Amino acid sequence: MAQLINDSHSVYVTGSMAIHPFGMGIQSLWEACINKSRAFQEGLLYISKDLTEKCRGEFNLFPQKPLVKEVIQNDLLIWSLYSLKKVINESQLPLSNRDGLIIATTTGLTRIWEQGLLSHFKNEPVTGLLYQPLGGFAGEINQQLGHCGPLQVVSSACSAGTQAIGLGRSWIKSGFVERCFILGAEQICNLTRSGFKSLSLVSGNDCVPFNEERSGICLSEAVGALVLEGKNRGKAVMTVEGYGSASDGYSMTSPKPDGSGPYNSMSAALQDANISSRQVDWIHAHGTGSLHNDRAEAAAIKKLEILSPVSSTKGIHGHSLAASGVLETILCEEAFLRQQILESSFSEPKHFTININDRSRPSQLDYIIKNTLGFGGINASLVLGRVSK
Amino acid sequence: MKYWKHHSESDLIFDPRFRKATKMMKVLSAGFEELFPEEDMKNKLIDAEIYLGSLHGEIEPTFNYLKGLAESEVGRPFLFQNSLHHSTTGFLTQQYQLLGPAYSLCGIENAQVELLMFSLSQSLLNKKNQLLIYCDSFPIDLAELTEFESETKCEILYLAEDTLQNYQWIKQEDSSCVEVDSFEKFYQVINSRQSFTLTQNQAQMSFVAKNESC
Repeated sequence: MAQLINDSHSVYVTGSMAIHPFGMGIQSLWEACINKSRAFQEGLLYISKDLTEKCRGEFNLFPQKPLVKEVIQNDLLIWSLYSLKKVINESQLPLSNRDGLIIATTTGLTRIWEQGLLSHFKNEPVTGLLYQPLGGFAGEINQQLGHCGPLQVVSSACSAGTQAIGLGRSWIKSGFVERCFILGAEQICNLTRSGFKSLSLVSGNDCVPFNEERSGICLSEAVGALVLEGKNRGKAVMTVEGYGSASDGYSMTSPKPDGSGPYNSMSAALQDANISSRQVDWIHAHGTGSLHNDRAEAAAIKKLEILSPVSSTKGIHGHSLAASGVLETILCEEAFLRQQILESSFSEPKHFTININDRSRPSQLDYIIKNTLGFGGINASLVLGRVSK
Repeated sequence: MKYWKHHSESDLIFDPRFRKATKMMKVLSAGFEELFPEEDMKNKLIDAEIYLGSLHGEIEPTFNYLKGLAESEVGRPFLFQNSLHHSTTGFLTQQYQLLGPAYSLCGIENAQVELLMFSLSQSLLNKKNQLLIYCDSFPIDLAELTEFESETKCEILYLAEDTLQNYQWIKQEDSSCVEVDSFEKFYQVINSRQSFTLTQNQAQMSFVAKNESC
């Protein structure tokens, strides 16, 4: 069945784009991490309206009649279409049915739906839709891009973005597609904003991962787009060398405290990349700033005997749920380019005995692990590699 | 390979262990236990890849959560955690200690074909036991407001890693193979060893039975 597989070649990240609360492109987010910029308000961080208008102005984002007219006003769709059009344009190859698209989102167009439903419940005139199917977001993107290749939407909680990258890599390696676009997209909506608060998971102040004085997560919005290819067409600085995912079978909202979930996903990713844990130069942790997450992830890192520095950057950009895996993988790409690692912001006083990184600094980077842990006990890890010159 | 399709809810025995579960979780668990009564089969599933696809996901708790929010401005945490699409998949992994990779996928047009295409495309690189689940349950309250039908659906397909050992994936498109448009059709086609094609968007994926052509 697998006649066309060539296991020997790497999968390259040949393009990327990010939109986040600090701006457009990864440089502005990198600078925010270096400068320890904090912008959370009551544990939330939004993308500005100005940035949304900028996205809308650069491309004709809706060249086709939308499947649902309300989506033209949806910010998440605007950021997503902008990011995908940007990486497609820069890729300089037209879309074909040999191009895959994998979208990671937990809420998609829920915001449109809940607007309609909330007005209905309050006996107000309905603005928006009373319901939007889960795949409506992907269908609209497909329609506007004119994409005709394989399409999937992964919604495995906060591990969805990392899983999407791992699955896209598999598509490339097997020869199923020639190029794969990955989109991680998340917008804060009433459901997530009030839902995480109802679980007492949202910090009233700032997000301080791995700090013993932590008070919870900060939610944020983001979109990240990546292009994966089996060939390096010149500019790639990063490869996806390994991928692993595992369930921990423990709880709907908390990872198993012994860290067996992230341990298994990291072990699988290392095995897939055919490297040892000692070859890892930096771990870009999930590090949400919730006690349960930080404890399980730290236990897994310790069990793997990884001594390399560990950073979470969510103290700066917050947690963008399904988009976080893609956004933070783009941060890792920038780290390879600069040969520099970021500090784990605001982690003093430290809670764990793993090597939490104190300061942003130059560092020889050949391999990075990117972790994500999600509700429902799902974990996913990537081993990212530097493209040798 | 094993296949189970949801029948009438009155025929399903819901375990009291599931009293806090959503309707989809209950039906899925009942189906899982019917399909895999033997302990050794559960052992084979411990590190299987799980692919769960749905057009609407856990829409009932989502609807009820938002209703509560509109009425009292306070969200109920239990409804929120069950509103996540991955909560169904997570519930299954927790209940039966399935520790492999689990993927919650959003159906776009034909969730069953999309699930099959995705799982088979992943098996091109690594052959593993796979559990494919399609489920949907649309709440009556919301069905009355929209064009969707209120109906609970659940289908489970277990593909052992050697299910397609007598097949070869062909890269070129071939529309003369049997078109598979559901789990049930896939089950029939494999059991009769016919070559088949899956179509999603404008992309096709064809598997040819060895020593045969489409």
